[in-house]
Amino acid sequence: MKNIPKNFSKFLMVFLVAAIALGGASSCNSKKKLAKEQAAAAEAKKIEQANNDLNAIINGTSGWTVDEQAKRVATIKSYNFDDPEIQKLIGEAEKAIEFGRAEEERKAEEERLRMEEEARIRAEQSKYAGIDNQLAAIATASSVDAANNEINSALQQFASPDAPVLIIISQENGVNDYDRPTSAQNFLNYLKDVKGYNFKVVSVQRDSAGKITELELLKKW
Amino acid sequence: MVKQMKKLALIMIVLIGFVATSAIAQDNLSPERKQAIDSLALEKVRDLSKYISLIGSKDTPWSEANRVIDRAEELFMQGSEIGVSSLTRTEINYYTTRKYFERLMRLNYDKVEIDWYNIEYVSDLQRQPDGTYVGVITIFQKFSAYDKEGRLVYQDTTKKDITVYVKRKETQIGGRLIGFWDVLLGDIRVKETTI
Amino acid sequence: MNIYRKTLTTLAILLIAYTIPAQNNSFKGFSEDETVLYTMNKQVGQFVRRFNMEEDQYGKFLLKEDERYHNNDLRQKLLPSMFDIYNPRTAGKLKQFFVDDVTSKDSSIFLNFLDKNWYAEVSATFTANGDDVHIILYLTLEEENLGSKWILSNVWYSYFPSLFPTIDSAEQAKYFLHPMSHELDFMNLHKALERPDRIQVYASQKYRPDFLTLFFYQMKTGKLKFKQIDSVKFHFFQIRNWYFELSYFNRNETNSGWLISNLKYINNEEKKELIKSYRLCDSLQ
Repeated sequence: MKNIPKNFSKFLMVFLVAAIALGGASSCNSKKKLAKEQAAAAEAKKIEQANNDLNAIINGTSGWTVDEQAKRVATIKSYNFDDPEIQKLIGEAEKAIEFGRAEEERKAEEERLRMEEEARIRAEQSKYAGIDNQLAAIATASSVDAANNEINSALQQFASPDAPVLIIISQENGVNDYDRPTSAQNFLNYLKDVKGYNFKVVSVQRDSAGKITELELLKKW
Repeated sequence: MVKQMKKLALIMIVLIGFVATSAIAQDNLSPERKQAIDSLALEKVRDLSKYISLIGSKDTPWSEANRVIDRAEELFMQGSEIGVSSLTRTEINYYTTRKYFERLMRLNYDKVEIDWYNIEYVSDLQRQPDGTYVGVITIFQKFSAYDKEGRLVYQDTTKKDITVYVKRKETQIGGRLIGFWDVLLGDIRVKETTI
Repeated sequence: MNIYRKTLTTLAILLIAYTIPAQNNSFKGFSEDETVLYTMNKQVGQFVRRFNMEEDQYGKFLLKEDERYHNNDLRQKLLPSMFDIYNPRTAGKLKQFFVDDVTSKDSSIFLNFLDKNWYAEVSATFTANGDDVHIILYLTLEEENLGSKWILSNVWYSYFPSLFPTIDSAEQAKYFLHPMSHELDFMNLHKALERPDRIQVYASQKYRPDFLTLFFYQMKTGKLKFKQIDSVKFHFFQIRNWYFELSYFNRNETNSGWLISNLKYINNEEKKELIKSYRLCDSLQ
């Protein structure tokens, strides 16, 4: 029993020497084979990457711009992979890119129109800035008398003290919700009483003499 | 004849369907529209607070105060009452809105301060049988009165529970059909608090 | 007991500190600590919305998509502050059991405005022959057309039961109109009607007097006149095995406003008995 460890270490020594000698010989023989294996692995990796990228483009998860997507597909195409699955994915990706481009164009046009409309609304609103300022002046007048003077001069611009004043309280999907309609006279006095102007003029109707016949405001919450 | 009847029936069905869906649509307001209605109701209560401060203030000229009382009254549903109780008198005194405002205007103090706590609680809107929405907005007010020498002679803090009625209405203005939310205040319960 | 109360108060204050940042807002230059006003259940509806966790600490609606909406963990924390902390029945273990039951993950319970079986109790003073009398009116919500309304569901006035004293069954067994009375043109009826104090024994065994009708009758004939409302509270029966009462506490502290003022763990049979006093037996569905 005691002899075993001794024998075992001897055996191990012999084995190690043999192994090193044999190992060195075999590595020399398979250098070419290894290079071939490495090339195959690289190719497989490339295919896998192409596969992933194409799928990401098709599923819209690549995070790339349409141009970047097109460039990547062109690169993959240039590899000329002999893989029917990849060929199929290239076709699908090209379709996705085409669709993406079309969508981008439409979105750009939509955005351009939106900006244009916003600018128009801004321009229109600044058109009413004068009225807004006058109404705000009633609210911020220093005394009751000063406010009454502001009211009288504002009333000059209306066709009648009874001209309707409409107040929009919410706008959703093109539907306006209004507060109970009031008259110019009452509205101007209201501004004096509550000492605040949290509104914005959105439309003004005038008669042939240029006097206001209807005022529409948006309540700012 | 039969064909005509059928046509009529079809029109009726379509019409009834339209009325029914519009009623449902009305009930299922989007959170944004509901929010706007709540804000509008709250705004009416804030307007009332401002009117009350104006009416109570000794700086408001008599004629202005009378005009403001008229405007304040317009906020209310006809027949609304204000029921007031204090810590020492749990019995409720009822005033018509006009009486309440007139009393406020004639208070015999040299200076009064009416302050509103920065807290407003808006209840859910519930529908009553006729379809009108009813809610209650709760606010808190501190009232202080001073004599000629500027000494505080009376002070109380009250909780005001204000009924709010909201009804969808339509009107023609300049040939256009305007759909609006008619918000009217109703009875107010005024209770003194220990705060 | 005192220490217990103190602990509870501290807990409640801690909870409030957690849910509500100190408010020192000013409006028109007015500045005051408004924590008490924020914390108190200002309306019955606020009690319900907080019970369900449907509003944030400022009283703003929570959208259904909000993760706080109906969140049971938050309800566990918030609910204990909605009880009167000075009442042993609503400040101890029973309250925690109740909170556990209504916030349990599998069967959480929420209150709805249009729930059946919650009642308002209005204590009022009326005058009868010039004397003040105390009467309790019970009201409940009833749906009608597009909405709902409160209806008078019952009334309690000590005078009414005194008109119908309990007559023991042996005594009651002596009085009846025999089954052949009809052959004598009910000539025995006059004897029955001679004693109005026990006239009800001639009615069905199932007969129960309807106090609401008696109340209407006395109002219509001017025997009763309304004077004033003294107090209002609410009784909630819609939660399985539980009954609670909601009362208003006008106190200058955070434990104020509408709070649970009584709590009972009761079975369905006991509950039915209790509800009888709030709603006429006949109209019980």
